[in-house]
Amino acid sequence: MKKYEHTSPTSVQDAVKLLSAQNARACAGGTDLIGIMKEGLLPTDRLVDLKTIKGLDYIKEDGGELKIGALTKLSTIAASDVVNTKAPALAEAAARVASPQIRNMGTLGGNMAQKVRCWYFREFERADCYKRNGNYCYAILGLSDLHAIFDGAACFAVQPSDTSTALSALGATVVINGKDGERNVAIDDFYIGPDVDYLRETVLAQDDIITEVRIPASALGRPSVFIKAAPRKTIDFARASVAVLIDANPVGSIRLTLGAVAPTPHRAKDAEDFLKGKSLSADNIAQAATLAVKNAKPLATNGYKVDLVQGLVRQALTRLAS
Amino acid sequence: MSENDTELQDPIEPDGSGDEGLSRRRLVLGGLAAVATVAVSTASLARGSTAAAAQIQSKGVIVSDPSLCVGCLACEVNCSTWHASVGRSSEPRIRIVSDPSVKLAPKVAAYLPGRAGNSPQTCKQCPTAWCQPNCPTTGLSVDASTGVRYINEQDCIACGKCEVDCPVEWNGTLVRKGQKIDSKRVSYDPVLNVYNKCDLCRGREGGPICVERCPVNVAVRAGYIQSDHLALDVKPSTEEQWKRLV
Repeated sequence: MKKYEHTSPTSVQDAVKLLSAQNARACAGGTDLIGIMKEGLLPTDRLVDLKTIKGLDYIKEDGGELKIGALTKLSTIAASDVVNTKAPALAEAAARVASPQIRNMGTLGGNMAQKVRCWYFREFERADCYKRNGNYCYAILGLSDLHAIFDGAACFAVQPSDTSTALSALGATVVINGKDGERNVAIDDFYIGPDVDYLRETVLAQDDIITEVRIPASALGRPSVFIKAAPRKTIDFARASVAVLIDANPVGSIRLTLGAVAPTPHRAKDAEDFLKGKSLSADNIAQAATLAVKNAKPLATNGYKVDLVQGLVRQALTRLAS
Repeated sequence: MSENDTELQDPIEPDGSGDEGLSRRRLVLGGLAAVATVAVSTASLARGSTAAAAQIQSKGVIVSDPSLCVGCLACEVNCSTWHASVGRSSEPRIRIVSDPSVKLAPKVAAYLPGRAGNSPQTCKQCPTAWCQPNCPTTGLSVDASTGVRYINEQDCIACGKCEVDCPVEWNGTLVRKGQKIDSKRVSYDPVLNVYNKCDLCRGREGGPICVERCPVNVAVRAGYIQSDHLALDVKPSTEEQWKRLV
């Protein structure tokens, strides 16, 4: 592993300053970043250890919103009574990330900002992958089991974060601190696709830090669910996932997000529009599941995701109906 | 347009278009009558110098075979990225339009049966550069050596006359997130407030980046897909070629 400078800021402002140096990287739990650094996939000259900043691990209700500090451990979120009661989709998503050991180290902010798991990106020899500033995507004409069925553009790696899928359904807001101070970004705008910039997955600049995630009052206490499909029950990334938030049954408002099937959390807006004003009957659920994959364009070996997503949507909506 | 205009780095016109670093476009936009008069006069002279060039046919035009296109958008993304990297508009100059009637060639369908219905489209480099004569500046120019019709963004005042005069419609639904397009092959970039069009990656060693980086082209060149032609290619822009394209 290449040598790097380890820094331990004590405030967000210090961390932002330290991150302005060339090839400086923010590190929270480090469960993704350290692996990437070892593999030499992300040049790192300085590591800014966010764990030394006090006061960024909390879960609290404030002004009607649920506020979660970015350094809150995934295991804390999964076990939290208030999250399980007020935003169950997020608790379920946090509980399905990796393994207990990783959830004890991994943080909410880090999970949201992790790098993609594309097997070509992670394979050292594939230096011409777009994500490594190259000019080719091996998934397009190669093995694409892990890759996008929606919105691929030159690069077809998917967003691997489970919590991002749940937070998208919950309509969260991400609080970011950078060199120009604090700004709030809606979760729908937080993730960016390869058509905007294939080297990044989020709007975060190198010297930006997620400090807080806010779940709006309109989502709290409402029925929500997260379901993930992966080859293994634990220590595995989603092949597809779904998170749904509804206000009631019959449905007045709904947010239905698919995970691990697109470069960003993918809102199934055709299915959402169809269900508005309707009850969650078996027929309506079946039609919504079909609409959720209406615009899917699978590659050579990820066609199974089209069927998988429909099954997950049916399961999620059936759970909410009962 | 911001002051950053003058900071754009273009490999062909790094300091504007030869006006000692003073962009004609900035003068026209400045609103000073005297300055504008000088600017327009200069532009008229320059236009006269390119009028003959307007009769030059482009030596190249991008042609596509939709039956080989898998709609991966590598052409659009690379077009944006390269043009942005040299300080030009990042709006893609080539777009993939959905066309449900397009079937994939069997040799591609064998790999990717679910990805038919794509039509890559861009400027047709018309034998007569209809977009050029009414340009009030040298925003729309014709390269004297290659005949490529291109937009000199430093001089574009976004008047839109080139789009009005462009004879080729650009309508439909884009593969990119199902967005609608209703434009001409010269199109507007609201971010930089300039028009843009395919310039065959003017100034880029290696030619148009979309042709170089199309993954189907890569597979054809490597022999993984058997085809006597590419999904995207640069062909000589002749009258006969143009008739086939329209």
